[in-house]
Amino acid sequence: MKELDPLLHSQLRLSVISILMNVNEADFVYLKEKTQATAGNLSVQLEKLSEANYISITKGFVGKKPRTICQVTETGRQAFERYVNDIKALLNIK
Amino acid sequence: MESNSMTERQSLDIITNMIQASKQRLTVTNGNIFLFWGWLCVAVCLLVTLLLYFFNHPAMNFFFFLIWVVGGAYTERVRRRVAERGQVVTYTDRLSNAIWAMVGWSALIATFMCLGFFLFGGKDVWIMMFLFAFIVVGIGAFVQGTVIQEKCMMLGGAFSMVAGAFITGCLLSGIPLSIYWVYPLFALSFALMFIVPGYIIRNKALRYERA
Repeated sequence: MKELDPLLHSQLRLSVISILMNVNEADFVYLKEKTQATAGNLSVQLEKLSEANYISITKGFVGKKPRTICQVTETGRQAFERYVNDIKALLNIK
Repeated sequence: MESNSMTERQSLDIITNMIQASKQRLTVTNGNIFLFWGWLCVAVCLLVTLLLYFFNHPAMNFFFFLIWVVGGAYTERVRRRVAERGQVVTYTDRLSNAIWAMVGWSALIATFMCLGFFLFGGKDVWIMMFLFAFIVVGIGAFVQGTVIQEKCMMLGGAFSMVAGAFITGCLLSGIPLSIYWVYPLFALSFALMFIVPGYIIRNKALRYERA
């Protein structure tokens, strides 16, 4: 049986990638609000996705406030599509 | 929210829920920015028409710069306010931003170009800005309408482009342009491009929120 991508087979990381697949870019505050995760946990999971080159993280400032913007990369996009196809295959969905 | 023990069905549910959660933002805009720019252009145009009527001095046309000053300040304020909240940029947003950045920057360059010609004696050069407003902003509105699938905005853009072509024809044929029909046509074009679609989009957004 095919094994699902362990990096995406996690609730929070999968949530983040799903959102980023649907939009062009999203910032940390938006992702935190939509996933209802804690800031610490979200930070850790974003870092893991970034290390795998599934997402790119750009840090900047809006006025004096720091702002972290996330975007899904081509690698992440392909991994997500593969993951969805694998799930479909496991569930016998055409 | 960190567990690897979820089932395949739960994974699909998460994907569906997150797409649904981020879909709300995909309603694009509540139309307020279009309403603001539409009303601003119409109000400034009417103000200039009245000033020209009462004072009959071409310098009154410089009040058109109010569009830049007020519009620029408001747009920057909105941009900062949005950036301070949790922000998401959709593909539609990116395309819309690119359209209006192109229109805005080329308008700014055209304004400086006109100013240069004006300083070297080209008194009537400001007519170019009208053609620009009719044609280039019309193209912008048409493309924006296509992107957000708002037919009314596409029609407004098309009307503005045709109006621009008509004025170009008048200019090339030596037909005199009068503020009594060119300025109202300008106001009408902006009303059709931004005000009418702005209200339609706002009503749609309100209906979407209520649903």
